[in-house]
Amino acid sequence: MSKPGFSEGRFIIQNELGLHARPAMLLVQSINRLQCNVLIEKEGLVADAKSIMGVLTLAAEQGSELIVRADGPDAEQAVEAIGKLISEKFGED
Amino acid sequence: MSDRVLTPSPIPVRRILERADLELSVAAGESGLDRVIIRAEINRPALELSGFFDKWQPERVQILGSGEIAFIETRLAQGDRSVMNNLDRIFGSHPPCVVVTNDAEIPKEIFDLAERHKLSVFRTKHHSTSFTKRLWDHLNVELSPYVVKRGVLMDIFNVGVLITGPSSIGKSECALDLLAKGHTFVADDLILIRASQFSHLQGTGKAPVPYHMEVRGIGIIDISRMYGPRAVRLFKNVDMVANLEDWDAGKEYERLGMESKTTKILGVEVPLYNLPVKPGRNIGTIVEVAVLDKKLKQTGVYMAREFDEKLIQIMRKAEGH
Repeated sequence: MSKPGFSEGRFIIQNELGLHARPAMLLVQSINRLQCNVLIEKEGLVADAKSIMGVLTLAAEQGSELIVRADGPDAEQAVEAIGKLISEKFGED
Repeated sequence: MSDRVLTPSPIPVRRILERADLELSVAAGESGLDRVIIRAEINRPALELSGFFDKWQPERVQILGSGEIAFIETRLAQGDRSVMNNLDRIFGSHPPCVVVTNDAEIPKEIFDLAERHKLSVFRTKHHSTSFTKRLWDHLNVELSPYVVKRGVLMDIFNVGVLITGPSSIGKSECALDLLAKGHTFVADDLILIRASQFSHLQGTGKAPVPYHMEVRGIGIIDISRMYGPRAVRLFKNVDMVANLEDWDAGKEYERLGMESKTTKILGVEVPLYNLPVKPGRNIGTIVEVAVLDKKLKQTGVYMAREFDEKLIQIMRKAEGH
């Protein structure tokens, strides 16, 4: 929230199986229609949050920390949407 | 996408044990297996064994070849204890590990020192030169700085091509097209590129499970299953970049091909082709042609220049009439 159109959030993966195929799909779908660019980082590895293979490549296990950075008019909405999915354990467990 | 240069984490000594081609086994000092290697360089401590420590670099893997072992044994047999002091200093200054090559018989004194300093001593059947080369190649790749780029990496006519471009421009579709033409798939999405020795850029997929790709409308596919083992490989040098971009009527694209464009990855210059995409353009074929063009240019053949020379000659002749 340092500048307009930019938003950042840090989240810990809660669900037991981690960010596997189904959660990755939900994550991508939650922001795919937004205009902003969304990057998602785990331990220095940065993926495009709108790419399924990118998000899956992070192999984010339970307990791992993700940094989400969004840039664009609806940036805040994107970070919120991803944070909500993670805290709700993608409807799993 | 940021092009952040990342530094790999140090390699635990136990990891080099897992490399089958190094043929290492633990001779002594099992408790030293958690030490780490931070440098790819290797040292044969011949000078240090004779007491010269001015240029001593303990952070390197230390190799004792049959020469060093013979030197130690000869000195010990002569009752010269200074070699023991030197060995003690070598073993005590925290090198990552010691490798005895040539399957040489290891003197008992070395076992004792290894246990005392909790330093792993390995043995291998390789000769020193061949072992050094293998270990250096391996460490050099593992310890090189790297970048992660978004794209698809393919092997096309034995040229490693990184296909880049914004999301949903059609990189995956382009890869499928190239696969259908018989080319080889390396990885999709996050591509790890290392600058290994002699300025080679080595590329591989970052994905924990290799050879998968998402195709819109179908889902995740396994290239090695669909196209068989001949269609995939784990590593490939990055020899050129084919950057796909939305066709922009206002932008001027390459029309002649008199010169070659390059981009830099980790400081290494790589030929770059900016290829505009619009419906009806068969991008796979165009990437294939870009590869052939790059191959020709590499051998000094610039087709546009040759064409121009021929044209000028024809025009000169016409002038003479």
